[in-house]
Amino acid sequence: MPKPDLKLVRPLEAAPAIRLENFQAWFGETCVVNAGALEVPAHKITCLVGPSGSGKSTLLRSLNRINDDISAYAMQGKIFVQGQCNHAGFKDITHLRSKVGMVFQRPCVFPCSIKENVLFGVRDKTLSKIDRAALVEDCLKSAALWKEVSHRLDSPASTLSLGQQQRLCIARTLAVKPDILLLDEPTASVDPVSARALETVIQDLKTRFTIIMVTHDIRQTKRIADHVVFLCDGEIIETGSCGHMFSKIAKPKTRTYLSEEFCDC
Amino acid sequence: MSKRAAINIIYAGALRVALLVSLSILAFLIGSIIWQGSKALSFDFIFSDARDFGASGGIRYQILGSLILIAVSALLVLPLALGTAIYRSEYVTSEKLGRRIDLAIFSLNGIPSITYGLFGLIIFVNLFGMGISWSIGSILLAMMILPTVTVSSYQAMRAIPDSYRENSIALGLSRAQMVRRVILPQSLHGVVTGLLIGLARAIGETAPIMFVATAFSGVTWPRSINEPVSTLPTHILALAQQATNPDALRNAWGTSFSLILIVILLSTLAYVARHKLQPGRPQ
Amino acid sequence: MQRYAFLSAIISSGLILVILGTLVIHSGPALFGQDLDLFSTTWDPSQSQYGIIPMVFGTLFVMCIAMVLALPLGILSAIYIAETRSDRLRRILKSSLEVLAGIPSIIYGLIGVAYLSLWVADGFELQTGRVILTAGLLLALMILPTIITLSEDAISGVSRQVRENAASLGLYKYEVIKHVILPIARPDIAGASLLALGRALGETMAVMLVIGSLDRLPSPLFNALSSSQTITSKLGREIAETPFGSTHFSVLVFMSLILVSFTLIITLAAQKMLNQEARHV
Repeated sequence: MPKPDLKLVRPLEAAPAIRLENFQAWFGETCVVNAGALEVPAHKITCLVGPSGSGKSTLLRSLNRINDDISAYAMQGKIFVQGQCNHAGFKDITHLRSKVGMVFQRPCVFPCSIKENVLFGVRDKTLSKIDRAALVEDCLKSAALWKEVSHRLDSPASTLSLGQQQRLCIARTLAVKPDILLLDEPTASVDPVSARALETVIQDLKTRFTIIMVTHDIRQTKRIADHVVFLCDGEIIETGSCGHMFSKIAKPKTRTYLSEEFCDC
Repeated sequence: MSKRAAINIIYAGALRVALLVSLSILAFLIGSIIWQGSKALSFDFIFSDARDFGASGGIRYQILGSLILIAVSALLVLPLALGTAIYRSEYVTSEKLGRRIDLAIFSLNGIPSITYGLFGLIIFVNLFGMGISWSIGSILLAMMILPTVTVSSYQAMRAIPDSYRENSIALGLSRAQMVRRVILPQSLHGVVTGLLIGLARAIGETAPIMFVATAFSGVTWPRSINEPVSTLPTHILALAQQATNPDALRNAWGTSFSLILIVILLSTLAYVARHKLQPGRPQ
Repeated sequence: MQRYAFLSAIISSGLILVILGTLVIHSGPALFGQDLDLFSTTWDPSQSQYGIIPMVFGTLFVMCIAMVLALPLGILSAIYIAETRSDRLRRILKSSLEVLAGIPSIIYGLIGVAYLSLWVADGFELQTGRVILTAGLLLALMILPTIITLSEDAISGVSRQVRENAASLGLYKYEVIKHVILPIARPDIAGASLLALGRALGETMAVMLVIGSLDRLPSPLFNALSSSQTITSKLGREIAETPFGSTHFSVLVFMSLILVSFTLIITLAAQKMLNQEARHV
């Protein structure tokens, strides 16, 4: 496979939050991602875009090694999270995952109360009751859910609407205090109003977190992305700032896809 | 290392140990049956008569007896299970009645096998005065596997899309014709699979038949319905009770191995039936 | 067609009533005929003493041993099989387990006679290995495949989504299992365990060959190394030799009725748990 031609836009003020070196992901005998090199800037929203099956989700799911549990999956190359290799650089996989939080496409709340859901990933037994309550409030506020649920923190999480559940999933991830947030099409399974609410939440979060988000929605990308990575057939076609990618100087393939025309890669 | 990481390692270790123990148990069970059984099994063993109370000779009539028992129980259970499944699937309209029928049929699964034997002894042997006869064994085995066959048939019938029913009625078929031409052919795989699974279980049952349908020695094939037969599981029972005699024990293993081979054959057929007879349906 | 189907349904549904009715009628003499002390601890028909407590105790004791051994082992093994990354291992294990679950109980009995009872006798230096412990061990072997297969189904039935969500929060594997998977799979695992329990209670052949058939309470009471008797082994040993219509026979029928009540309740409860739907997140 030809090496992808990369234009890296590195913000001057910060080291990259995530850096890929010669990265390839395989499912059985098929190479689904051949990303070569990639750098994701810190404290920005980076959107991974591309047609279905282009390997966006696989790439995203490789970052916190959630794909490790799938039997046919294998990877080559290296991923550095904040300068540390995500295989060797962390004490164990749970450390990596508490640094790199993830929110999935379909909201999936656990069968317990709203409060317990938020605290699900918090396994620090020494935390006092007051600290816990403060953490719950803080996370729910960050996820813009506090006003809606503050009076019923003990009711089952499954009673929330789908959009609320997705924000609960975000709050739950924030409670673990990650540095990086991976969002796998977080707005795909909620209604447009909830999707807008989620977008606002995500934009507010970027001051505190590096956000990497897979999305199918090109208009959404235009609205919230700082940085865009365009994938097609497992290869990175182009990366750049949002302004660059949506301008005329972008590559023809990128332009075709981002102008929402049919992409024939 | 944190406490959580330590627990995780202990946990992973416990899982491995548990699996290892389970695996060695499984290996021991399968291994001993195959090892001991293959030593005793031969062409002669299968096709000759038992002698010396089973300690020598073969198991020809035991195989025959077992096959007669399950063949006749298949003939008995099939119409009953099929009719029940059809009624449950095509004629029951009230959910409540349906649940009551389910309950009654599931309950049969909860009756211990020995109780079937006791029931057969009271009703057929003593009240009906049939004496010890193989036909009682067939009836009891049919009762035991009735839930399996019924439920499997019923589930296959429920899986038929309602559009098939609506279309048949729209074409002017009566309900009975629809059952015959659409429901039965489309649920055949469920009926056959359930029947074979049931028979695989029935042929290994000892407790329901041991005091109502079988005799240990001196039995050939039955000439009337009121005669006992000899079967594989009861033969194993008799031989296991003289386990101090190495010859008897060897033949017990041989008989067990033959019985298991028949059970596996029936289960494999059931598996094949499930996949081969399944009708293709448009999605 | 309708008449045939209706008739079949009536007969099929009626069978359970006929069986239960028969048992009730024929335990009548034991219950009401004479002044029998059924719930005493002495069984001696020649003295007209029909205490069924030793058999009931033996049944419960053997069942407890079997469950205590098989349940943790089975569930832990099921977790391993469900969580392993190797599809091949899972396929091989599942199919051999299904073969084992189909092995007739009389063959387990043979294994008990030929190996297990000898090992127990050697291991504990007993005169005979036909004791409660052997019966419990043998039953544990018998129900292990059932427990593993059904629990594995329950655990791998929990969607991958739930696991991934929990894992992405930085939970260790054991925490994912303990706090997420097991709570969700619990009703199914409970159903599987109840089904195994029902099977253990009602099992005759395997137990009958290795229990030793002694109609007395063990002494001391919880001595698993003494011979005993369960309801099923009692029935299996004595029904054929007992004259029909005698008090003795009636007491046997009554014991069977007790057993049936237990297994019926357990089996139906298991069915109910396994049939609950729309529970998975």
